[in-house]
Amino acid sequence: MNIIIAGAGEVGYNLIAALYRDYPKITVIDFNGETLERIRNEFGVKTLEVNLVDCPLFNHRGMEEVDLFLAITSDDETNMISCKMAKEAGAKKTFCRIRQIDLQGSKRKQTQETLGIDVVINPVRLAALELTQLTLTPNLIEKQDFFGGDMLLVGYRVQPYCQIIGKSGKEVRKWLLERNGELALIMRNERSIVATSEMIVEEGDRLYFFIHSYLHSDLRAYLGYRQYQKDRNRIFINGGGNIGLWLAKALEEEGYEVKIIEINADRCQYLSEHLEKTMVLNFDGTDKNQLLAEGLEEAHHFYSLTNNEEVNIASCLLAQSLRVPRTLALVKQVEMTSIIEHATPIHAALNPRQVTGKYLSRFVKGITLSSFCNVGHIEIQEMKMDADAPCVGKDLAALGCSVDLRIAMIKRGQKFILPQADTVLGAGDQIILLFHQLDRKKARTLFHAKEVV
Amino acid sequence: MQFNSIFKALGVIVLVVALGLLVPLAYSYLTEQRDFIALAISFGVTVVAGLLLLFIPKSERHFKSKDGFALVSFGWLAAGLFGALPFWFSGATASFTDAYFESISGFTTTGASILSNIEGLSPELLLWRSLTQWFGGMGIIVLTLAIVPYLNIGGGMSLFQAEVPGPTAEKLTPRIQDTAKVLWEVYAILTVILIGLLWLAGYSLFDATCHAFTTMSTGGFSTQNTSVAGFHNPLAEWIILLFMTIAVINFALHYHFFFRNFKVSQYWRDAECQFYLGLLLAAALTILATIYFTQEGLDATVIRGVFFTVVSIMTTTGFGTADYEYWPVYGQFLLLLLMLVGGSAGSTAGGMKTVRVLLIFKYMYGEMLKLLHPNLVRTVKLGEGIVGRSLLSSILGFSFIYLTVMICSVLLVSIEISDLTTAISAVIACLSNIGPGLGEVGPTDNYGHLGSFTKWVLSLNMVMGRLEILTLLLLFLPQTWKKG
Repeated sequence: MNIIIAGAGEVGYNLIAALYRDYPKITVIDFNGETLERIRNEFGVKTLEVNLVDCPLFNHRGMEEVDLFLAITSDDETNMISCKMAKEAGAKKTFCRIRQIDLQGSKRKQTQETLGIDVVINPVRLAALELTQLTLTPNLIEKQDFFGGDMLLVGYRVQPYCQIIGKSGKEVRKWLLERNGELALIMRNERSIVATSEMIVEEGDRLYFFIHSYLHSDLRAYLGYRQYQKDRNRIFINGGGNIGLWLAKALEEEGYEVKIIEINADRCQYLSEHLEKTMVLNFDGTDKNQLLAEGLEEAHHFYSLTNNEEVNIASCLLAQSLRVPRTLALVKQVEMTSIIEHATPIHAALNPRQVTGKYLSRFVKGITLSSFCNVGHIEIQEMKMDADAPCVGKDLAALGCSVDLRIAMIKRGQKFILPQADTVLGAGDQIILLFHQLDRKKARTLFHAKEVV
Repeated sequence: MQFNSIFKALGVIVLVVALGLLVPLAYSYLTEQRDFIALAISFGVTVVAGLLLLFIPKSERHFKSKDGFALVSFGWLAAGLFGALPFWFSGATASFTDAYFESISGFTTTGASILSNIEGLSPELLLWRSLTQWFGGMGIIVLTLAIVPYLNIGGGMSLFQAEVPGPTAEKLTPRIQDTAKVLWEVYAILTVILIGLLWLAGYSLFDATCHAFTTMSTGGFSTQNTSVAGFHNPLAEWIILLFMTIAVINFALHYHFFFRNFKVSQYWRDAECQFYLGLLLAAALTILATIYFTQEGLDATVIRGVFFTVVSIMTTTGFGTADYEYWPVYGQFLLLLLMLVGGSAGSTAGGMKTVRVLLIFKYMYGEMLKLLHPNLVRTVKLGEGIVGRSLLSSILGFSFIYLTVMICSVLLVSIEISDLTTAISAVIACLSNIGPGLGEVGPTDNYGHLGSFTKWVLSLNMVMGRLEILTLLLLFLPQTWKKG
């Protein structure tokens, strides 16, 4: 896997940090020598100090061997041009970070094609999406597509109000079985435990389910989250930037009562033109009296998403002092997220670059493996059975599957099969495999997944 | 003011009216020739006047928008004047005041009549009456723009804007002349369809033509004393009801439907159309309910009568099938309110226009929310579009002026009219271009018995209503007459 990362800013740095262990063939391009030196020393990857558009690599034969070209500099135009150049020079897949330009219209596909961009990522849109998810499904701790999106792995933390508390593993399994789903894992006190029939679900457990994507909202209702969320739909957003605008747009469609506070009157006008039901309020988001007059005490969420970190922290602390159940601040520095989450009463902090980095590293891994994620020490991976794999033709009992190495689900053609001891694996089956980190070697030899370089 | 240019252009408009006069003249020549002489003299006078005006040399200076407004106002007043000649010369009306009232009531698509015996009129005059409404429906200026390709003066858009009803006139094509042409095309197509349908439903070709003219223009002149009810033809009533509704939908939508592959469902998606149809249905149903609970009950005739009357009034047509003065007062008052609201912008209807009423309600809602949330920033939206502050304030201003003109006119006509209901409803019915009102000018009465001062006030009201007041009111502003 040959990867070129153009742009060694914060997003680039975090991405390299996440990738360098698994992918030795990374080349980083940037015009800032100091940053590159730091990266070279820290991760030992190849670097190239050059202005991206003048980059000699684009004329080089070597470009044809590049599997992935990621243009993630802070400049939209540079990213777009370099993607086009890389694609023309033979790069297999290109990735473009675009912040300001909205490639979302009806001609988006065409434009993207002419620019040679395979995937566009917009950090602002990603952050808004992440926030929307956080709001709509705050207890969702994991979500991963399997079988090309047909099957979802979702993880939920059990809250005190959940109806599922006190139910046995057998009952939960039965409900899921009727819907072709499966209880994948239970994590209790940072350790995975076996989901036996007798086991009783407790508060604080983290439950991981396999469920058809169209049944996800049924599962939420079954667990008791949907009703709970429905009664908690009053949200204040301080700061009407693009993240705030897109978040408000998504939430008003979900039936949330959104109030967006923006200090700039002209921007307020713009917001009110682009939002339907959201209330646009023009005042300073740190003004306690105004916030109280607008009913902050009755709000369920308070997100501060202005450009100014200090304002965000201050207004979140203010909301916190008024007992708003959930506060979130947007921050610029990655280090600040954990500081805020651990050292202040503010519930959460979000950094758009971190979100982008997380998304990117996930995506890069997603290209090489069909689908992959890890929960604690357990890794979950999707595989396709080749005809010459050692396991084909054997039943599961003969394969010696255990709790630490098991098949959670089989997709044969369009059919989903929940594996039993006498299920025989066939060539062409797609499986979802769960295994302990330590058993990785064993799992890969047994099921013969192509080794990742 | 560029009087030379204005009068020269006025000549063109007068000649267009003369062209219209040719139609009843030809009809008269081919049939009984009852009023042939009167029509021929009227035609002659109109042509001579038109040509005289046309030979006025054009002034050198630039045609300003105030000249455009003046031209539109004078154009309408002149059309009323020359249109009145056949009625006057033929002796169908007692005085010139009556003739002018009848003529302007036609051109403004009001449909208020001073004639007590309509059936006594010669067919050629009946045809002329209906034709004046058909001309007035889409607009004389728009017609002139459409058939005289180049009026040879500037300010085409301001002329268009001054005549087409509604807060903003939509330019469907880049050239204003082409827009005028397609609007008339759509209008003509719909009229021809309606003539065919009414003919199939059992009307004579003459009646079908006259009624199609007055239905599509939402005018309301009939060829019978008892209006549409006189034909005792329920099928034709439903057809007319349908086409009145169509005529009051924005013609821009019709244009898209005929020439731009527009689907029927898209009519329903238009915010104004939605509101308009909803209002129509709500009014008809509540009136039916009050009749059901206060009077002896409902049958098919009553239901049809209520629907027909509500549509006829709200579309500002004014055809009658039921005598609504026997309805509960609720129904009568609701009709009066519907008269004020009128039809959609960009249609042939009069009144304040539903879109303005809708926007005023939206604005009021926003203002109320603002009391609860002092820092609220809110934009009024119509469908997908954004309604700007300046447009909103002009709409509010318009509504206020509309009501002011209405109140002042009621004050003026009440000098001669002794009954308050009659005074108020006569003014509203004329200002909103409906025709029949309540009391002494109700659906079974006419305007003939009113004093001549009242008739002139009402005539002026009709032109004001058709041109949405401001165009005509500008003539009373001193600044309009100043140089520079």
